[in-house]
Amino acid sequence: MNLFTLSLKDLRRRRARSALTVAGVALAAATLFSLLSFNSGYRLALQKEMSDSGIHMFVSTEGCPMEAASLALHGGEIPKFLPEDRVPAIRSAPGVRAATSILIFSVPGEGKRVDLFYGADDEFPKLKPHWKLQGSWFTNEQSIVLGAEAARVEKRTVGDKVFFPELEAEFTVSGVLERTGSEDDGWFYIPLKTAQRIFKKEGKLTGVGVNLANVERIQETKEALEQIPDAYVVTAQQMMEQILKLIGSSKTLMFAVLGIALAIAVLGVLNTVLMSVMEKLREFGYMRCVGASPGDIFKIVLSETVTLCLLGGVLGVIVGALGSTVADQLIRQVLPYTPAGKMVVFDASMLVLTLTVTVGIGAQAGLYPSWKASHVSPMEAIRNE
Amino acid sequence: MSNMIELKAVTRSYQRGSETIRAVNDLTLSVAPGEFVAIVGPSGSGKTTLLNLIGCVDKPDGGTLRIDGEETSGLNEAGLTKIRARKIGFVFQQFFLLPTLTAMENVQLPAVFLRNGDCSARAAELLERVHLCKRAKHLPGELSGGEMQRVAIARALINEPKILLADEPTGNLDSQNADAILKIFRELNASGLTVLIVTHNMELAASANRVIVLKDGQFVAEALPPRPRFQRGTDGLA
Repeated sequence: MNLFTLSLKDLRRRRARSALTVAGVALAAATLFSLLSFNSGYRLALQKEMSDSGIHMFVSTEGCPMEAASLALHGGEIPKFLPEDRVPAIRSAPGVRAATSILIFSVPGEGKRVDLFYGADDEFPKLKPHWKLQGSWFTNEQSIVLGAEAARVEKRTVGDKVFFPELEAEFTVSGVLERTGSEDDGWFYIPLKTAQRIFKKEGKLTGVGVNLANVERIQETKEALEQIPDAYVVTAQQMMEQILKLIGSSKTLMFAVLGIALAIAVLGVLNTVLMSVMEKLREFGYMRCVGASPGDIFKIVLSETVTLCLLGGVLGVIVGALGSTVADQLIRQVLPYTPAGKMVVFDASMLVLTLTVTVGIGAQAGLYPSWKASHVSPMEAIRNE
Repeated sequence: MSNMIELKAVTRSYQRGSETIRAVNDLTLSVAPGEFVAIVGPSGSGKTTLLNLIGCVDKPDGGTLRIDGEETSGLNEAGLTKIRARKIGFVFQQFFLLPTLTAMENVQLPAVFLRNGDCSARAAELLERVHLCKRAKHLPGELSGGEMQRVAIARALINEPKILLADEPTGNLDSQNADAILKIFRELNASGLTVLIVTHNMELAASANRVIVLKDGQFVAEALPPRPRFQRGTDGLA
């Protein structure tokens, strides 16, 4: 038997109260763990999405960088278009390895369904060297390449016909993309000229995606592209910064919620331990009578607090890890921009940080009750007999 | 040989409203090693206050108090704790066992605070000595009053103290259990332990070498104890 086992015995004595306190701490720890995992995972997912897009720069007509980022990565429509005749100048700019003309449209389908059409030229596959394509890129003007998810929904494979009533157009599937885990999976890729004809935007582009031969020379290329009339250039880095800036306020809100959860957990621990101490003041007095020092009593109570917080922290990490998919979905609902990949990614450092914060804050909550218990006079215990 | 307990002009006062109560009033006392002293007197005479002072759970307002040659009046809390842990075993009328600990663990408790390592063998030996080895794994709530007091005695002995202090140790027990406790005290004293008991039980007082009578915090008499009229056996105790 030692001081630690004495504190454990006491926790077991009030099982329901201890369990509820542990649950409160676990809730706060799970929130902390999820947010830490999100904080790191979001940036990684965004970086991966940027990298997977193959677009180092996006050239569009003048507009806001967020709009450009959203277009480049998720699709969407803007009322302004870049004249197609700017493309040769973009391709000949220094440092440009490939530049693909893009025309994007979303078309409402049946019910809540929205079909995303990506008009692309033959340069497009050069931006996606990681793509694995079953079949081939466009073979004629009525070819279509399906993203993996689009193929699954349409139940189509290479060689099949696809008819879109809203466009009154039929295509033949020339290729199906293997699943990438990114936005690419949901698109219908059709030839640029066909897209311009169907959507009545001949000679117009949503923008041009630029892939660089040497990323280190990005500034030089950007300056050259900015000389082109009507061209508005946004780098991938700028897009990422804009997105991170945009979600900054949402993150602040989430961390404020975390702060409240932690404060409630700390108050819960403080309340539980303080109540326990008040109920046991006489027992601490007896212990003092039989040789316990104030330090011994302090350690017993603090061990009790730390044990509660550690249990809550471990439980919270487990819940946070198991519930990361749920957390991912919840976060997606509150953020203005979310990358397609998994946003909640955790590693050992987050586990250590969560446990350290939980135990650290919990231990601070235990300081006052521990101090109070350690200052019980043995005389008080006997006198109240 | 120096005294085990030595008080010189010790006083201890309490404030009750505007009135100052002198619970122990200019009291001088010496107890030699191995003595068995009973302190008797009416309620409020200062018996328990005197025992608490000697047990270092309370501090005198004036005078000097020595335990095993060590002056305690000027000691801080840490010093008093050390004396309580190493030199004194305390037995209370209400037993003061921790309800979450088994009899065995309660006995070991003072040794935990002294960091004496694994003392389970000694705890078992002490429980054997008070005839409770079969109840070692029972919680206090599962023991009778007599058994709880015997656990408390074993607990008081775990750190091998030089002085055993007992405050009305038989106050909550029936006569059969009281006799058993008395027998244990006698045996402990016979083995060389200095024993100081506060009691109203004249039979218990009769076992002492010396009886001190207190009234209003002062000695009113000191005498050899009256001889006990009878003694009961300890077999078949509850």
